[in-house]
Amino acid sequence: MDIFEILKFINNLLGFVFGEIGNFVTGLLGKGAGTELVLMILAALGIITYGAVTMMALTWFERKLVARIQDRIGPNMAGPFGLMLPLADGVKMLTKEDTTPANADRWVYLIAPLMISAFAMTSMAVVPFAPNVVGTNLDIGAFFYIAIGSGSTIAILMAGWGSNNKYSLLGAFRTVAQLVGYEVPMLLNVLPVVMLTGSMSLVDIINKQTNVGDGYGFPFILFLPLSALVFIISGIAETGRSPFDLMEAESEIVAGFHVEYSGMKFALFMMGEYVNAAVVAFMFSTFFLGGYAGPIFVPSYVWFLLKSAAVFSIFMWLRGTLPRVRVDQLVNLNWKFFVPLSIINIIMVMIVTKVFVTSPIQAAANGGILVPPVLLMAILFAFGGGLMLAALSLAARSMREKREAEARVIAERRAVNRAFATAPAGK
Amino acid sequence: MTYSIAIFVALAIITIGAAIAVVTLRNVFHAALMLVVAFFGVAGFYVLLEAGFFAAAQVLVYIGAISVLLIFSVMLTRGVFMAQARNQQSGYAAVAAGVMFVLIAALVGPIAINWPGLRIGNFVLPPRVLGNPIEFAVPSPKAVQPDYLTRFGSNLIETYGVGFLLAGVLLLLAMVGAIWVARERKLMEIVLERREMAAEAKVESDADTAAGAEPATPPEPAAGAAH
Repeated sequence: MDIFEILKFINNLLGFVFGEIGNFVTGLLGKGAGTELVLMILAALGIITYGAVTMMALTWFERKLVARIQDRIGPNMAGPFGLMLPLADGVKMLTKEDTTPANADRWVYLIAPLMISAFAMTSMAVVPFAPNVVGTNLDIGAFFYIAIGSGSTIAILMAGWGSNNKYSLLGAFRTVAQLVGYEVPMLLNVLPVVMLTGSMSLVDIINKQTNVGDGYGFPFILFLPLSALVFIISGIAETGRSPFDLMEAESEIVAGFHVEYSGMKFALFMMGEYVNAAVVAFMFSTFFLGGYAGPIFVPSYVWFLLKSAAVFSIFMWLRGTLPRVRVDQLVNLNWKFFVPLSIINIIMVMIVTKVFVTSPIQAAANGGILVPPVLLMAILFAFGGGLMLAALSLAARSMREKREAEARVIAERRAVNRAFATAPAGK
Repeated sequence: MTYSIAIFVALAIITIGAAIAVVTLRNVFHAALMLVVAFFGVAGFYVLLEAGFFAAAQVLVYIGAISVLLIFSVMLTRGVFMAQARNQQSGYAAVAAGVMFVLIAALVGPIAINWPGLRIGNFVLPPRVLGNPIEFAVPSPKAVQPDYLTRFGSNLIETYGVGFLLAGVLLLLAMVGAIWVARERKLMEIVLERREMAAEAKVESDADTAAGAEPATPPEPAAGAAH
């Protein structure tokens, strides 16, 4: 047994363990529909537990990292490096008084936090963590993720309405403008990935980025730099994290849609938010960074977590350094910049992948120039990067022109005022 | 007979119950939420029929977009905050619902009765739901999965290409219209327009009083301009 075999075993360990658990349960209960149901429930429980643990780890990680960015130490009292802080938080949340506003729309108010965390957990079901470790390998995985993500809008609206509070309702209104809008560029930038893969299954998308079979051998971020950039920014906006945290802007509308929630209900909101952010990081690493695929000297599940943690660190970096954007800036950025840019990008990818094909079968059937994946990557990267630079310079120029025009108007007004001020009185 | 029949019955109860609640609940906001539940039930039927793509599309379009729009407009309706809104046209609504039901029954009824799995006498449900009262040509549901998506896609582009394009043009027109309505305007333009509308309304109401109609009510656009 050489070192390669051992590495391979470690690589597939997680899938092996879960497979054995499945075999054990099947052996215990016998084959049948009932056993399948039990296995599904077990898998769902596992994913939910994983989501809760992810949330606890991320709260600690975020506090520590943001504290470093702001030149503080961060949590250091509870346990070594403050690692027990999430548990302390849990105790605090559980012992807090659980209030319900007197005039709240009671059922709507109570169901909203449950719905938010349920939607967040549901989108975890399609995340492939390691080879053969995926809740369910749906053939429409990428689409499923976007569809489930759109459901949390309703839950936030319910929370904002049910609390019977002006600030909650304002937060909910902002949420609608933000979430409904940013779904569009997110969907439009998953589309090029699906077009390159030819499948919406997340496992197929990862396989296409490896050397195995007809894979390209490179992560899609090198093929689609523009899509990756727009996807990550819309992902941050979609989860309502800083600098797009308008729905819970403390300085404007107290805490937005969850002003009236306390105790575990508030914790459920936090859980939904963190799990959603984690899923965006998971999805980014799946779509653009190759997911669990990577050189074998590091196990697949560790690759996946490393990539996701790196993406999540970018979220925290932005949170620690950028101020909050204005509502009109947020909406304009989406509809006037991201959506048209994404559509142009899709058309570009469509034409390039029709002209330059990598599979000989497709070349024989539909025509087109047969190129190796590296060349396709270089062409797409050049086109995508060029498009990005062109769009950015265009946006920068239009903004500069607008600023200059405003400055001219102000200067003119000042000159007029000065002329009036210095004019001799009387006449 | 597997547990899919139990799921089917549960989904049917949820969907129909929610749909009834939509039209019977007094609170308009609750009715809108019940509509969301009904949409979820329909998505569940798609899942049961092994059409995952359509289930996801149902969730994305009907729950993520249309319901949100509906709830938003309910929230902006005057009087929802103060009192329970009441439907003052329930008679017309009942007539419209009856007509719609007859139309749908006339359209879907013949297809449903001739459907291979459905027997009214013995009450047999569509074959996919039950498992296999009638064997289909496809060997297993898993094998059919990628096929239905590609078939759906190519049908959309090839067979129904014209309709697909027309729907796209319709949506584009709607979008252009929305942008036109919400376009940025100079303040003076709005003031002049309001003034014009108020003058027109005044002329109309004057004409009404001159013709001996009921006493003039304050012209609405003028009231709007006062805001």
